[in-house]
Amino acid sequence: MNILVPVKSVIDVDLNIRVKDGAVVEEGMNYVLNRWDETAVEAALQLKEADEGEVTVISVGPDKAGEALRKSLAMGADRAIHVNDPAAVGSDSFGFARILAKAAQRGSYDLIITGKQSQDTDMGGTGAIMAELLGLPAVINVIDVKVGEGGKLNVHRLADAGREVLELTLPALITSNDSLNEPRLASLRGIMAAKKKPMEVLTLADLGVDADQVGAAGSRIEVLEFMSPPERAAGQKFEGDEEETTRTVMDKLVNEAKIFA
Amino acid sequence: MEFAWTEEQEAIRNQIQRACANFGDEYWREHDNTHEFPEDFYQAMAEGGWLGVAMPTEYGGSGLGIMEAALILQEVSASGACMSGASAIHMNIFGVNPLVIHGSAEQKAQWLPDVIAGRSKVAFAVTEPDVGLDTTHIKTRATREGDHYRVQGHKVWISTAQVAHKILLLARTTPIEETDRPADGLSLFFTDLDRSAIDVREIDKTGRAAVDSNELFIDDLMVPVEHLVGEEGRGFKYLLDGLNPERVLVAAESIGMGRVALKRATAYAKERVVFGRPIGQNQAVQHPLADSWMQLEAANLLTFKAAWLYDNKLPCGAESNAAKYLAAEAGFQAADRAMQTHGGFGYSKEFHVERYWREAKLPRMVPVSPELILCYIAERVLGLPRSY
Ligand SMILES: Cc1cc2nc3c(=O)[nH]c(=O)nc-3n(C[C@H](O)[C@H](O)[C@H](O)COP(=O)(O)OP(=O)(O)OC[C@H]3O[C@@H](n4cnc5c(N)ncnc54)[C@H](O)[C@@H]3O)c2cc1C
Repeated sequence: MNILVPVKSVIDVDLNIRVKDGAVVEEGMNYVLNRWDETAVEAALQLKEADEGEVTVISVGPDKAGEALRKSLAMGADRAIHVNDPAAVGSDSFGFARILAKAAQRGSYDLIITGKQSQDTDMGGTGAIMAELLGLPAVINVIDVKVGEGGKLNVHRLADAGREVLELTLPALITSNDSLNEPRLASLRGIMAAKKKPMEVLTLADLGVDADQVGAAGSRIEVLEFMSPPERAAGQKFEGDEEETTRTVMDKLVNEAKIFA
Repeated sequence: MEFAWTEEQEAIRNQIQRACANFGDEYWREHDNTHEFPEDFYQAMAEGGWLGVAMPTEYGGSGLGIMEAALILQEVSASGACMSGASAIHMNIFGVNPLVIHGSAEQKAQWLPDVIAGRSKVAFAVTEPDVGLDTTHIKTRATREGDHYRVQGHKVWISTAQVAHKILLLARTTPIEETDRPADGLSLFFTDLDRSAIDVREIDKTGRAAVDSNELFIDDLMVPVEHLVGEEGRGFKYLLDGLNPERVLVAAESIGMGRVALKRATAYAKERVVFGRPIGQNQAVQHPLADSWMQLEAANLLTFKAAWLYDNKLPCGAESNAAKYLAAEAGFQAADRAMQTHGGFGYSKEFHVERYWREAKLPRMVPVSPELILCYIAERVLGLPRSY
């Protein structure tokens, strides 16, 4: 099974993010492989190990996107595609999906796995839009995936009310929930081997993508402002007799916080 | 001058941090209490390929330098594993270097793959009770008898001997009175830690309790001549080759300890409110921590400069020794201040800083003492008369 995994380099949200003049301050920030994408790479590697084939990772972005790719190669992906074109900067989910879809059409992939969302923008659109552009069946929010009978996939997804079990005919696209698996750590050998694996660097022109349709120019969504979440007010502490405290807390929740209103 | 890490070094640091995060402070506290070898941690390091970082690629290593080895051991130590974590893997990562440099092709092919893959643990047996730092005067004797050497002797402080499969042993093969210089006539052996001939007794010690240190009573240990490393009589010189890189690694480990201590101290200083303000708002609390940060960073620069010199095959004796001295002092001082910052709670094991403090004391004394480093710098760098 040949698998394509789009991955993204994102700001390490565990560090303190600073916002200045309506934008995130990028200086001094660390970039990491998006958590959901790490899960997607792991799922692809497990499917490859259970079957055979190749795992290709792709990222659209400036030089720092190369780090996400090398990290994925270090985990065990076989090859990488880096779409590095200034005109792609500022794309919305639709723009990225357009570029990725074009790149997907250049290869022959049985399965595309994207992360359910990225941990920086939390949009969660790219995977589904990509499937639509490619005319592929898509299963969103996958929590389990195995190779089933007759080359089909057995897929479990987390739905609103519970676990939905599906059989999926390939080619197809799935997006991973972060509980899908426990991504492996890259070993030292993996890190060393990553340097020698093929990495193709492409521009939008190489892919036949019209620069007007992507990037800031083609974006249908414009980010007007970025704000830090408001500081949370300090909590209140209630002590004393259990029954009395429970009554006080319930009273506050119902009548002050109006949780049932 | 280039101070930035390469992307590969960043990747190594990132992955080793994550690998160590699976073994947090509680894991090390428990192993400190039970004196149990951190086998799960050791296996995880073996599986990640970390043990072979600086070992030759033909035996399964990654062929990187002491720079990367130092980076790895520093992160291990800074994860809260301290010397217990570092010492658990130190021998595999670098201790067998004399074998790598002076061993025969057959010896290396036979032994190195197991060391690199973590299947064999090695103890390093040099120190003896009656000679201390005066290594050339060790008394353990290896006498040639046909195709074997018969070894008799007494070693002390030998780490990991409770769990080790192999032993890298220094013994005298020519009596000292028959040699031109005391450094001659000593030989190095890499052989099985044969418990029928070596009585291993654990020493009850202050810290780094997860990794044992022992007294070894060696009585008629029969070592095949094929287990002699390099030439007979040149063992002490072989050991000297490995001293500088070892100092660099210990320096890196000390800085790691200082950093984790400082991290805990600052977190606590922000949180702990006394007299209506976080204790960290007081300059008397802030300044020692700020000073420690500076000391650690300065020592770190010298440590990685020494690593760079070694990897580039340049002389690095002064830098390696000085780095070990400064790093060990800075690491211990940071741990001491971290404990002080915690007030009475620093004395409780639950806050971990007392464990860092016990462990940070160790690199101030071994593998070489600060006094002897000062002697070395005075003699070799400043050209003053030799004092020891
Ligand atoms: C936890 C632990 C693990 C160890 N692991 C190992 C191991 O695996 N393998 C191994 O072979 N060894 C090991 N050692 C031994 C260690 O290398 C020695 O303890 C160290 O070399 C110092 O020797 P000593 O303790 O005999 O000190 P001594 O030589 O007795 O020195 C005692 C003190 O006197 C000072 N001193 C001595 N001579 C002079 C002088 N001329 N001028 C100024 N000061 C002087 C020293 O600086 C020191 O402070 C370990 C030790 C410890 C504590």
